[in-house]
Amino acid sequence: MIHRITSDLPSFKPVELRPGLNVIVSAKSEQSNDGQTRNKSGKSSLLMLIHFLFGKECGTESLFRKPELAAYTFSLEFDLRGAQVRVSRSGATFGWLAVELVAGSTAQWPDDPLRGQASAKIAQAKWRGVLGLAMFGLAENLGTYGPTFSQLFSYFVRRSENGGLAEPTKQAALQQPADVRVGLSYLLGLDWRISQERERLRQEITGAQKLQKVARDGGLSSVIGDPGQVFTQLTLAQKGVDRLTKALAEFRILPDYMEREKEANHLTRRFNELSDEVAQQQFYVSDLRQSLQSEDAPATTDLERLYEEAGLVLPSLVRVRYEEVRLFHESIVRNRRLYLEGEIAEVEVGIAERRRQLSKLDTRRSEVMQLLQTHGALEHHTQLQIALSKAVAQTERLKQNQQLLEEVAQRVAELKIQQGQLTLRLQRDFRENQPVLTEAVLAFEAASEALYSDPGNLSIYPSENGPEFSITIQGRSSRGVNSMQIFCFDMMLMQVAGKQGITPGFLIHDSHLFDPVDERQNEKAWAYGAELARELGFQYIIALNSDQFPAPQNRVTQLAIEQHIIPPHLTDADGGGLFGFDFY
Amino acid sequence: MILPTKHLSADRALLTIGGQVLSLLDKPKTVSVLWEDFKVQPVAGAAVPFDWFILALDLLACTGIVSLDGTRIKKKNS
Repeated sequence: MIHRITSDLPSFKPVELRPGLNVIVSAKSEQSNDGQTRNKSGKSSLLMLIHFLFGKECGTESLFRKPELAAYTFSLEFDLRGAQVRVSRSGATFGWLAVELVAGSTAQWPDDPLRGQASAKIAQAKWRGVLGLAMFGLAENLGTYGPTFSQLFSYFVRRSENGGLAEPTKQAALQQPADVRVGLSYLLGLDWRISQERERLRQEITGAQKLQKVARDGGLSSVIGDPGQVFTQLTLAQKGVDRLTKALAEFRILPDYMEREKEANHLTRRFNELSDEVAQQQFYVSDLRQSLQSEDAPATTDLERLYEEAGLVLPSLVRVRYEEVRLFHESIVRNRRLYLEGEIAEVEVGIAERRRQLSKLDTRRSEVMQLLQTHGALEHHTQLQIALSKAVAQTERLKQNQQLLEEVAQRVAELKIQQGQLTLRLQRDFRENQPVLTEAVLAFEAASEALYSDPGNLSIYPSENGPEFSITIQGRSSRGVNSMQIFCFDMMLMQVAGKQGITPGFLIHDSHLFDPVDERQNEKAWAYGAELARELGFQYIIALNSDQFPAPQNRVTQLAIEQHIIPPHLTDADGGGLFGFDFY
Repeated sequence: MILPTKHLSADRALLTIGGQVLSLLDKPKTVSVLWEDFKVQPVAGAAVPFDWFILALDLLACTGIVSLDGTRIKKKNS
């Protein structure tokens, strides 16, 4: 229970609280109209202040770090496990809180930061740890997705600006489903580790499936290749490795391979040259033979005619006697024959010589070619070896890819099995916790029954995703009904968690919760809350606007609500708010 | 035969051919070489048969312009 909230800020209006129902009223001034949306009285600031003093609300945008407030210290006195302590914090030194023992003893605290002292300075995170242990029995380091002090505490001090009044099961709009399941499982006494484990698994499966999907879609083709092709590629790569290994094993190195290659080229060139020469000479020989056969020497009658004609045409020029000319004629004809025959013989010798050379060249060329075919150069051998090591590396990579894909698939399958096991574990947990669940359902129904003639239901069941909370109240669509669902849910929490001793000892409802609800329903809710608070010994703190106050003639319960109003009396006039001045 | 006539074109006349042969005799040549050289001449060469070529040589011998030096034919004044 909270005793009082104070500050060294002179204009601050101290809050003095009592056991059971506490009503903080903010008066609406005459001038304010419905269009005035900004609520200046500071009811929401009061909730912020409580969060601030319980170790939260200290970001750069925090109200308490604004220049108008940063210099001042705020204090809250409350009961925590046998001790009444005062915790103080200032925006200027927001990382640290002062804790003083006011009454009782901290002997029951699992982790006592005072250690027998009257007061101590505690770091913000440490303070949350101390509170988590003492208030909720939260061991430290419950792991990722495990329950935390802030998570649980926020169910008891819901904040509308965080969306805490939107759904019964969520204390903030952004609260993740897994966080809800873990938190509520913890508060109800179910095995929250199932939900924690379920979330861890879900994240892992999502990750693995994403990887698998990306791999299947070929998104990783640059890294692990096309998965559909991995087996084929691997087979082909292995074949390549085998082929290269065999080629290397059979490889015979010819040291002067390059020289032999040059020789072969040279031999071929020379062979072609000689062949051309032989062809030319053969053609020449046949030409000569043809001349010899067909071109007979001109007859001497022609010569005689020539001589006569020359005498006629060129009388002064013919200086040689006919007989001499005839000798000349016969001589050149005879000499030519001899020459031609000699030429033919000579060329034929040349042809025979070249043929011999050709035959030699051909033999040598065959030898060299044979050598080149069966042997390889050292360079080729090295190249083969490089190709082989590349092929081996490629095969190795493909094997790893295949393995990776198989592992991912196996992991997904394993995770799904684990998920199935978790579902079974959850069902077992639900069976074993039947009494608790029954109590929760009945507690919700009791609250609902107090408000409506046709009560709503809370049902809690084990789904594949974890514990599911589903709430039905007639007329679901109206906002007022939603508010009352939250009211019933919170009352259920106070009852079920209270029985296990894991509540802060107080429940705070802001006026926003009651805004959409009609007057009579609100009054019934407060009466029920007051009664339950008295019965179970917790503090039910509500903040109301004066216009939410039921007129005496409209009262439907025996609740003497005026008797529960506590100081301060806030107004939305200037200086009427919690801090005594307005700031933006 | 020696000079061009109605039935003998100028490039077939022995005088013309003799002139061409003479121009090939820049040095003493055998009949074969001279004949080979003559045959590759663009205008006259291909069309002139061997006996006509010999007659042209005979004409040059009649006029004493060429003579036989062993197996080679040479210009008289060279």
